[in-house]
Amino acid sequence: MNVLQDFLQERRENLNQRFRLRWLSNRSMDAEAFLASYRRLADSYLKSAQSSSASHSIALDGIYELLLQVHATRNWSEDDSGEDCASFLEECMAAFPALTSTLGFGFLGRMLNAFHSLRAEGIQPWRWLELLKRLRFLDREVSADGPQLARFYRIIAGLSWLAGMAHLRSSALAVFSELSEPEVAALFPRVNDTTSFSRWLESMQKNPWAGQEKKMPLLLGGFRGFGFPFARPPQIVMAGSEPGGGLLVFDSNRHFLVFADRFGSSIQPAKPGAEQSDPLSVVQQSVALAAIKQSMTTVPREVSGAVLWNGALVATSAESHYIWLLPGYSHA
Amino acid sequence: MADKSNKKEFQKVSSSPTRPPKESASTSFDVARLFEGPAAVDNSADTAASGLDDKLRQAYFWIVNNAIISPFYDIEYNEVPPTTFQIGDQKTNFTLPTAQSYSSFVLLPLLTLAVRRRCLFVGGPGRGKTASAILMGVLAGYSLTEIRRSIQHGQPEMTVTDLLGNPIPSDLMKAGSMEEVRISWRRWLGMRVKIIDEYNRIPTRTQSALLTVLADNYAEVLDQIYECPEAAWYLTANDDAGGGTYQVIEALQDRIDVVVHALHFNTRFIRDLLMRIEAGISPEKMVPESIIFTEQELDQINREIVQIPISDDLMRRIEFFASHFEFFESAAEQLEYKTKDNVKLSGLDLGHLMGEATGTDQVKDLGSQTRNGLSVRAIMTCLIFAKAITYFRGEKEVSFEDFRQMLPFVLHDKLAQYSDSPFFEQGHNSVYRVDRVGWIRALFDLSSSEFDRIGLGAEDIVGELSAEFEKGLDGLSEKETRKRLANIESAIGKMVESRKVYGHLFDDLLKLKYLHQRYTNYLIWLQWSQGK
Repeated sequence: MNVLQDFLQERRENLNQRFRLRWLSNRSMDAEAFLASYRRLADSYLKSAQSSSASHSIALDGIYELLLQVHATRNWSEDDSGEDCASFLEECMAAFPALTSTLGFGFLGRMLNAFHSLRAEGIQPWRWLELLKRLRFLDREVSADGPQLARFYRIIAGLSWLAGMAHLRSSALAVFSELSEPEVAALFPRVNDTTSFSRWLESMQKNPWAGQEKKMPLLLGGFRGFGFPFARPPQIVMAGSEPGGGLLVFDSNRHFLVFADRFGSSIQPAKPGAEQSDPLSVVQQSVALAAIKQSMTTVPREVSGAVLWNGALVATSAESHYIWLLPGYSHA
Repeated sequence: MADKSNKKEFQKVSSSPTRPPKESASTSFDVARLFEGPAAVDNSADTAASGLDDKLRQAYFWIVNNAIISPFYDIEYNEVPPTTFQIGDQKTNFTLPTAQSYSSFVLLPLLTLAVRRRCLFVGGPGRGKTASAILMGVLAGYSLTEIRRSIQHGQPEMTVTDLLGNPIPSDLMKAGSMEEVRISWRRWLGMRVKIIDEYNRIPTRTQSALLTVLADNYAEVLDQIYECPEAAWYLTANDDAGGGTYQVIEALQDRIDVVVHALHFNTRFIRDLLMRIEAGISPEKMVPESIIFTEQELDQINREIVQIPISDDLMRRIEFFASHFEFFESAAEQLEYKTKDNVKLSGLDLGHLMGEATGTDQVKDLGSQTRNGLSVRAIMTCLIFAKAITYFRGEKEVSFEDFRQMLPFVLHDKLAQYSDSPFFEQGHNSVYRVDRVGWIRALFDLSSSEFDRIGLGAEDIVGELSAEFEKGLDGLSEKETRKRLANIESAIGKMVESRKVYGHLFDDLLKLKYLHQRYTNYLIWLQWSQGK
């Protein structure tokens, strides 16, 4: 019995109608190409879920719906590189076949959106996927509705911080504080027990570089003309007072919040004066320049502003669109 | 929200939030942002923010974007003053709203579903009245087949048993008494969405049977009773030109909660119709699962709507508005009977008495524009629908604009216009003889202006005396009681000195009389108990 064939046969009218409706608004959709993509994903799913006796119609319908929304748009990529949307989704379905069966589009849509959100931040989605796979034991444990599912989604969303979305640190730390023992063991195999884990969470809250053995200097930002955020050399404005708050900078055009920690860095658009000001410890520019020269190869000719923030030296230059960040810096 | 290019994709439901919340000062970043992207997923599982009100909005936007071509925004909201143009000889104001606005033809049936009330669609044939009602049935979880089969089509031969059900023939033969006769009840009676098509083609006798179901939620045939569940009702009515219509009994008309006009078809959208024909599209077959409501969800929505508060300030304006219409000075000698209802009961025509000199300004007196006052039922319906639209918009408290927008649709057939009133001779007011919606909005606006002019927001002596009374009579001394009685009498004295009696004064005086009487009774009792 061919499950996919049966599904297509049974739902033929409905699937055709939906395709036609979608085609009305996106005439670049090609039925053959669409069907080929659909078969690829559907076969991949059925292979992962072959041992399951559950009905596959929700998953197969979900794949169809997802492709209807994104196929033949710039939000879909499918090639042999292995680093495209289609491959990413295949891996997700392979890791979570039961959730794909029960949630269908709800699960797959989120996976696709995660793929795009991570790429938009310059993060390889596979970094997140590798972390996600550590939780595959939850596939059969999470029920399809209600608070348990919401919790599961928040946990896997929190993994994006570990993948490099530094601006989500506060939110992710709050999510991780609710992890169960098996979840902690799966995600953080080097952590001995939940007490150590709680201590680590606390320390991460206060110090974004906590536990990092070798603190690598970072070069953040860049010129907007080359795909980076700043139109003009940024100036430091002020720092967030709450834990996880970003560093507010201004490039003479817009404000941005800079986030950085041991897992990555991120620059987000911000409203002017969004953060409360705490007096920053201003570092002498000459001292800052010396520190940068010691740590990095890309060095400004001069430093126009330098502060200590969240255990790091942050410096800017009037001649550069970059921000220098030296974690673990101290005056001593 | 879905952009223009995606609007035609029938299965796509607008992403939450469908009404972006006001920007908060916080710049915190939540992990749930990871799942924002090109695929339109329902994020209500991830955050507690989106609730059933968002689902209701998603349903609304799916309908306007995909199902019903109703490109109208006649329910207008504004965040900032809108751009307005004046067009035509009548200098009609044409405004471009600056906040999320809605089509009454889609919104009101949806709100009716949410609050389980009765909605009447009016308009010429072929304008989507029945189609809209069917869509509501599908949103309530019924299949298209079930809904279509359950529609009751009004026709002049319709009997009570056609409508409600037949006794089982074998029981009729065998039964020794009426109790033994079982009725084969019609299926539609048990449904939570009830559709009556062309209700003004149902003969009068059968209308009475319909009234029992509509008003009291039960059906009766041969002494057998069928209790119906709470339901949303959708009735349609065609105009009389097609023939075969009956006068709708007043009690049935009065039970209609909102009247929705089927708006005309904007010819600029004929291409959309063509696309549907060419693609063989039937939106009612494609309603996404995510916007279909379960019975529990509709119950929950109803409960949440009822809890939406109305501020004291707004309530005061509503009271003032409602007070204009019932009072009719020439109707009786005693104040309590000076009502339009009294005139109606006497069989006299109100118009004959309207001309009698009472000294009131017939243009300014809003009561002069109507033949009747507002019933309790009408007022309650206004309040419910105001709460419903507030809920729909995701707001926490009913606003002035919410009430103002719902009022015309609720009072459409409830406030009978006295079109000979001098008000309609003034300026461009003659248009209100035709435009009921505009007229009722104008009434509310004029009422609110008058409210502000009199300064009732700042000073409300009746409200103060009422609040004092609400604290209770326990332990009130005779001296204090007499003082309060004197205060009431003094307030009445100020109110009546050289003032014409308008509607709001009428109700105020009666309220003061009520308070006076309550204190008087208490005083009598106090004296008696002290004398024992």
